[in-house]
Amino acid sequence: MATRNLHRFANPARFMRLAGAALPWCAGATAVLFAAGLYLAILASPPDYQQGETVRIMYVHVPAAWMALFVYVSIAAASLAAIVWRHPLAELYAKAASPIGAIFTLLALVTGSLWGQPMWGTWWVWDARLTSVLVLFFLYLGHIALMDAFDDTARGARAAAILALVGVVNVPVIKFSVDWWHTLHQPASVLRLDGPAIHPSMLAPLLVMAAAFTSFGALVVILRLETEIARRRARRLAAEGAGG
Amino acid sequence: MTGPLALFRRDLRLALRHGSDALAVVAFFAFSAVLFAFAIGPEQLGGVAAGAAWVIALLSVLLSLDRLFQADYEDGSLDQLALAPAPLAAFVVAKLAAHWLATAIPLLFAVPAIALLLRLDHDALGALLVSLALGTPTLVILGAIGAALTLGARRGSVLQALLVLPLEVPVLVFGAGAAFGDPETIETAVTVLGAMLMAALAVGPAAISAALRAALS
Amino acid sequence: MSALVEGHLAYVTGSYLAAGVLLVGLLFAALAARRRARRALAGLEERMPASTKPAGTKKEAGA
Repeated sequence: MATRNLHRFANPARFMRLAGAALPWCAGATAVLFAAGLYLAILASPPDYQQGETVRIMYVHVPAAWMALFVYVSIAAASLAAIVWRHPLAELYAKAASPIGAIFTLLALVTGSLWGQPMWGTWWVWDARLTSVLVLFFLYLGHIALMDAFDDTARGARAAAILALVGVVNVPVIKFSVDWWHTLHQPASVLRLDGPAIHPSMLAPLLVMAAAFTSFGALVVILRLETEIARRRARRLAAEGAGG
Repeated sequence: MTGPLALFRRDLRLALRHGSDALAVVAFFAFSAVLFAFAIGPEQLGGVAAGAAWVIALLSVLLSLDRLFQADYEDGSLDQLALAPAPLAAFVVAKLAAHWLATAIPLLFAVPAIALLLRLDHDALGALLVSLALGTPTLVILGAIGAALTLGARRGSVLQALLVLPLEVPVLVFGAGAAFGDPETIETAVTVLGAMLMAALAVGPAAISAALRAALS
Repeated sequence: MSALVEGHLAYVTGSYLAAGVLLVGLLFAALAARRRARRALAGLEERMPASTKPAGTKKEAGA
């Protein structure tokens, strides 16, 4: 029992020392990348010949959509590690990252809506990508709700890990089915949200913003991991104090 | 109770003895069609009939799975199944097969009546029946994943729906796509429905037994 | 700022505002939660008599 506790404890502790050292670097990188990305996206890049200024929405929308998917896949990978190797940190990661992914998904939806209004004159288009992101948002909500649905946190974490794995297998199927559904119901001539072809002048702001989003995600993941580890330690202390 | 086959027979016998459970699902299915008629009006009903039938069939199957493992979980027979020599996944398959026979088959028998209520085009009935026959087993497997994951959770059934509905989107897309009976797309849709059933059969029982073990530990 | 003044100004600024609100909100919520958790932990550690304090709880080291 004691050695098992020690094992569960030592691993996050070593990680937290690393994370504590990485945190200021991560915060600095996020600030620099956002400054550069916003400069490129708002001031230094030309408007699109077709979409005009609204193309600048893409520099927020597309990185958010990328992050939404990337975080989900990373949660699934961590869930696999949690199930196969019972790695304590992997379980914590899934819990820390899920709300972050949900926020990125929500941001992709909101900016997609703000793009749809000037482009198509409506706040919501059943665009193939937006629809897939909408379904992904509900996958996140289910994952968050399931983690929180049990009095026993370990039970919630196990169930959520299985759900994330089932979900990640389903994500390509959902994408495929939504694409098929889209061709069924809408003419293909409509301008898609990812634009016709990405012009090189759009690539630089897009990539820098994507890097900024990734760095920001890592920053918040570290903060939430530190929070969760402190919470668990407090819970253990309280239990030991009560138990004598 | 020794093997998966015995479990299958027991579950089927229980379902037949409590026939009112299956009847309640069929009644829910039928009255949902009535709700659609009240909400949309009889004139426009025909155009949406195939899609509406698919949505209410999906919800009926989900509703029927609400307490699939609950009784076995509470009376401890799930613990026995987990310790039995046969793999837990085999028992899961037996349980799901019995459930599909006991609830989805009555549902399929009710489909012609539902089609009548929804003013579905007569020629489209065959496509609707085929797509539902192919799609409902997948819906049962996906719903059972949700039922196993939420075993012992607070507010189980709402949570189960939230988990399962996004996963069921592809089944609905291709199911309804087949049911609308466009000759150009029906072949693709039916093929994909079959492929999804195969994939669900390959992955589902393992995921469900893992979720059940998580609930038992 | 000339780029922002013409075209569909409102939608572009709206998008960047939405991003700012969501991401800064997420960051501040995470910071506030961390501060709360650490304060609670420090309070518990203080109340505990030194003799019953399990090894490795005061400092980060677990080994």
